[in-house]
Amino acid sequence: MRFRLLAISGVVLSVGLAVAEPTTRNIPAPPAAVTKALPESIDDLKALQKQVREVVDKVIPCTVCLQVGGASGSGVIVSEDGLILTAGHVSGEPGRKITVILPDGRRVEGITLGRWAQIDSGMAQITTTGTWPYAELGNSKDLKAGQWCIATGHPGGFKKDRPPVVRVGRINFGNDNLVQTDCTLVGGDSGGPLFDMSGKVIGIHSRIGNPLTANIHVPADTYRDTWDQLVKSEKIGETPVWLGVKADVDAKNCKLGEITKESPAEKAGLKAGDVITRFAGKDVGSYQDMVKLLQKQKPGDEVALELKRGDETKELRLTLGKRKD
Amino acid sequence: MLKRYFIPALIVIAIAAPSYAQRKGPGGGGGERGPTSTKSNPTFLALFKPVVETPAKSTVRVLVDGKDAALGTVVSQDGYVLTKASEVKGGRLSVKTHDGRDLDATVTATSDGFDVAMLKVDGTGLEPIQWSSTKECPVGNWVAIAGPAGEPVAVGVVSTCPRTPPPPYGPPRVPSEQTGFLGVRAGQDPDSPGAVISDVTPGSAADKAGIQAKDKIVLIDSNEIFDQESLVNTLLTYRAGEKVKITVERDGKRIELSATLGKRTPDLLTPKGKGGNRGDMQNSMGSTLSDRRTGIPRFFQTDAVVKPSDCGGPMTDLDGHVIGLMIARAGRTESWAIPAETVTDLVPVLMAAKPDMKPSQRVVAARAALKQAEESKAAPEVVGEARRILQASLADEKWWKDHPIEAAPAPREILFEAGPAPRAVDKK
Repeated sequence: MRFRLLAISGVVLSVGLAVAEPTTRNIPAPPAAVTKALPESIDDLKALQKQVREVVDKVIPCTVCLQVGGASGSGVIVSEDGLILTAGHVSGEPGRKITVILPDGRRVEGITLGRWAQIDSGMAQITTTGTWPYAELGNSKDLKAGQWCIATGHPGGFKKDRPPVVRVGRINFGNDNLVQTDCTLVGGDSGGPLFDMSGKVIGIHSRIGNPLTANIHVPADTYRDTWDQLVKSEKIGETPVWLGVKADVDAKNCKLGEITKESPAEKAGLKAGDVITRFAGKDVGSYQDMVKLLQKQKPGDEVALELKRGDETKELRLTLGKRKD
Repeated sequence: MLKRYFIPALIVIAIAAPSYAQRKGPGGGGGERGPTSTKSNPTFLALFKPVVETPAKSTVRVLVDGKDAALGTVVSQDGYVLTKASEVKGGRLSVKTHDGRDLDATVTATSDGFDVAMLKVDGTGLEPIQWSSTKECPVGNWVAIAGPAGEPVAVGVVSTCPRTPPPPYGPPRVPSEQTGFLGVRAGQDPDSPGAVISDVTPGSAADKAGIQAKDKIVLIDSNEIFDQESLVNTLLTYRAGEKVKITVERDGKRIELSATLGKRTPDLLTPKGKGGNRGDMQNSMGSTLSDRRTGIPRFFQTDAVVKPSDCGGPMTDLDGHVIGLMIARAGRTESWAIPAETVTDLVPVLMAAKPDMKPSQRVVAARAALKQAEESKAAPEVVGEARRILQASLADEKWWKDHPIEAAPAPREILFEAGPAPRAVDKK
């Protein structure tokens, strides 16, 4: 009986603290020197250094090591109750029991949640009761080439007496699918966080190419876009979903070339020549855009479509099917 | 048994859009594609010129047979210079000073643990370095490595505070038929130090000693075992046929077993050079690593990309404070420096031996240096090195006694390659 009461008071406590601020809240805004294309003086470098130290101080406690089976990756805590963002190839199969190692060496239990294998995003949850230091999620769509960023993680796996390792670099390139920086990464870093100079998570480490400039991160926005699915332990894009349309290959927009007979698309009344402009609440510029949005769905989901047929704008809803191979 | 570390190494040429690479102009060195790294951008590097101006006066270029081998850091006006020991072996040594002088040099002492050699150069009027310290942890601070011409050769930020990794220290031991073989597979206990046995080879030394699966090896003689890596490294310091005491934990109790190490069969010898290990492969991507990049008793790391031949020089922060001695390009994400305060403790130990000393005099000097290190409360890692240097000088003295010939220089290095290096003797 006593245990149950304790458990209940624990819940009340954590609800009470749910409004607590992220660990990264009190980081001062980056000074002007940090937003220059390149620092121009020692003073600029010192301003940049001061900001890096402010951010590092706050984000190190949120950076964790994940031990999944016999392998070791990194992650970042993004909620007070211990939700962790990581890479899809680190969390792997949803529902696996994992060990989460905090920067002070404390080991707690966790479980893997959903993943989006194609983009390499993944989630996990600390299951040991407690409140945890956490970082805020930032935006990745506004990132610019040349912008400073900070990477933390556990290169080579967790090492006793070595807290998460700091690297500083700049954004080289970014799009909806990846962010590339010159913050060097190596095995063990996978799943670790990339921060902007306000200490917000803008990416999750994923993979590398040979040059020291080819360090690839999953953009933070993809986590936000698929948040609920990841939390619900879904494997995004891995159940073959069926719409039943083909692209008009000559079109730059999302113009449909062919509708498969008796497909969800035909049943909903889509016709060849229709141009899809919105899909599942998002604007669609090209057929590829639509496919990407489609891949986040699963069979049986109902989605809303907006389309142009000649001069006419139409809205319709359809239920997605399961692709037969 | 082997740990996997996540990061699939994909070659990602496609994502570095060609237009982008062109806009940035000629890319970085080493045939890299795509944009240049910030830290190798010439405009950015040039910003650090004022901070390396003073330490550059104490930096020399060390050459082996006239070829760039390492950098060196001047520690005395009369010609003592620190450098990276493993980069300055096997040839005629000389240095080029900040003021353009070419001077002959000889190695007077070596710390195998730190991979630091003390050089004595034929010259005076050199500018000794002023060491600072890392007592206030410099994580996130910009650092620069001074080249002798006053140019910053590499820049980056400090990635970790100084730390002391688990032993053993010194050059990696290479498995050979002469090195001791136990015959177990082991993994790591995630919660406490030790190597957990998963498998015992039937008929092996381990089997004969009574080691069982699920035993956790915690000690070999008095060497503490932290994980499977330190188990392997420790075993490699023994010879086949040697008797060892192995302490294992079984069902919560400590049991002491005695084993006579066996011979390693040829199929258990790892091929020399790079290979196999995925972590090693990824770490080698994008830059050249130092040959010696493990077993340093105390260091901190930076994300600066330091060439192996630029190790041995001083590392400076933005205030011009010299906080470390660059010692290794250790991996894709890391270059290592020995903290300035550790170097300060190490210098007197390495300066004890003078170039013209006889082996017996070296023993006396090494013994005095150890005593001084202990009395002055030098860093424990440095005291350990002083003890190792004393052991080495004793072994050297014995060798000369056993080989009382006037000619023929001692083929010491060849001797050492044939068998395992001598272990540090326990402090009694």
